[in-house]
Amino acid sequence: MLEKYRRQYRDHKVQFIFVDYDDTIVESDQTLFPLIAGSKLSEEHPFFESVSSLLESSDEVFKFFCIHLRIEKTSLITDITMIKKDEGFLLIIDDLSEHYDSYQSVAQSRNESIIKTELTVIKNQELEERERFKNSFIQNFSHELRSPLTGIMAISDILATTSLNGEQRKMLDFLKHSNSNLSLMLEDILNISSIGSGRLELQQKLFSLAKLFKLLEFTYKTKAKKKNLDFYCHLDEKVPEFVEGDRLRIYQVLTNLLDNAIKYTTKGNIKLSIVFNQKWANKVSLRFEVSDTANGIPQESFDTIFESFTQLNTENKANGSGLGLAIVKGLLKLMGSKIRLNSTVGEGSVFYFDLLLRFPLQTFPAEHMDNASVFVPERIKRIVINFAF
Amino acid sequence: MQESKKIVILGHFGVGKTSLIRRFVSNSFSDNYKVTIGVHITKKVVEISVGKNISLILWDLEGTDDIKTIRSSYLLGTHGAVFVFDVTRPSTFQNLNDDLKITTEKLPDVPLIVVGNKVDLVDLTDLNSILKENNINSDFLSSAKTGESVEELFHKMATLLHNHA
Ligand SMILES: Nc1nc2c(ncn2[C@@H]2O[C@H](COP(=O)(O)OP(=O)(O)OP(=O)(O)O)[C@@H](O)[C@H]2O)c(=O)[nH]1
Ligand SMILES: [Mg+2]
Repeated sequence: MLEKYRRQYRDHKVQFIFVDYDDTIVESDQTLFPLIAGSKLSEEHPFFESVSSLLESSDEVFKFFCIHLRIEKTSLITDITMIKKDEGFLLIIDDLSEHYDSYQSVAQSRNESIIKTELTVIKNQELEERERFKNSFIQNFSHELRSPLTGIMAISDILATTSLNGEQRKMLDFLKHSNSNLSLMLEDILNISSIGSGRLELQQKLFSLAKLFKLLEFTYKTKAKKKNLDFYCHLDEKVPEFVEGDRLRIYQVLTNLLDNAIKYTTKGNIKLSIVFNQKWANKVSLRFEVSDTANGIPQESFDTIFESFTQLNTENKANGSGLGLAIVKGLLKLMGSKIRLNSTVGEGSVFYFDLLLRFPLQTFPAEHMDNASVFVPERIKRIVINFAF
Repeated sequence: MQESKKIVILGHFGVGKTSLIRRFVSNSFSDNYKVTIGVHITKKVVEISVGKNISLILWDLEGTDDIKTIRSSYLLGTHGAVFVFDVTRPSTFQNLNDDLKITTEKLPDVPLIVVGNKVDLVDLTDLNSILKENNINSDFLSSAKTGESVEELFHKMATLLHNHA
């Protein structure tokens, strides 16, 4: 190793040149550059042209480091010393190319990596900024849309109480159905933007998983029947009746998955199951699974279907906002979980996720539960009203 | 002999000092970044008025994010300075006013031109508001890539130096 450094720092070549005050080369060895006595030094390289004026100053010695010199066809990186003498000045040129080349590679990777990091940070900031803007825009806009929609719904309700003929009632039913679809879509949009902007907070409360399951079973059995599909349910008996978590959001994830399954399945069956994975002192891991016998999803679309505004089957766009799976992904992320998918084209798909939920050590009789266990949230109510009855 | 002036090109690394010189001297550009170490010196003759030429000796210095660390020997005998920052990287202009203050302390009585480079990469309205926010006044907004303002900035320097002398 020392040998390498000795070569770099001490074993290098040195050229001596003597120049008079008229810029004429008096004498030069030819160690590095072919400099001929009698020629003008400042014409050999602009470096010499710009330092010649320094000779008028009172300093005796000038030292320059890391100067790139190219004379004739020779390119070198050098240190240059200029020493004033009576009849002119002495130039000593040290060829330190090897040493400076290795310094260059160090500087190259250092600068490149610093710049790359800087640009990545800037890019991420821009993306976040854009995302924030988008979310707040959507949120404000959807809020604005709510009031005219509420107006339309209220008027439709009043209209329903007036005397209408059969044709008119049919049209009113259609109007109300479209209204509630629109309202659900708006809610989806609000949901996805509040997930995206980090404004959505989870409520951890004790609730009856069994009741939630029953509600889903009831709702989707009816919906499946309407499309001539079978609906199967399975609740593992080891699953605790009560767990602690955000009931509304778990419900929302499952309804989104089930709605999707019903939407895309034209024959066969839909299945919902909650399977026990593992249990700790006061925690339980459960697997939630929704399977269908729809067309299946090609492997290359596995990631994109969970992005906002992606719909696999564009012909079906009229039904829903297309945000269902993005909401599922976002909500599960908030709950520390992840949506997964197995699918075979032509056979069907299984969407599943695991949740780690706290559960109470002793079971609560139903009457001790706060109203939460029997309370049906607004959205659920609407779905039940719209589709089940 | 023709009047010749030494100009140093200063600024953080990667802002495009070498590229500006290359565009000016040989009207070319490369997307590859080769870090300059030490100093590269080139020369170009500029016509400042009919029949009046001035030769600019351009010292392309190694970039640094700390202007104080520049070797003072590089600055000896300087007639003019160009300070370049990169409009796409705030780190190269956030402390610009301090950097310029240090530069003028090191180079008193020397004309200084401030250049924001790589304008081809940004939206001009956004850029102007960012520069305003950071209280930055630049003399030129340039692009070594497209050549925008490159000739002008060196020409301006040549004129300043001619009048300065
Ligand atoms: N788009 C664009 N890229 C530029 C421009 N000027 C320089 N670059 C790129 O920016 C990188 C750095 O350019 P250089 O000219 O080597 O920068 P420098 O200031 O000499 O860097 P150091 O020698 O390390 O101080 C290179 O990849 C150039 O291609 C410009 O005006 N527009
Ligand atoms: Mg450079």
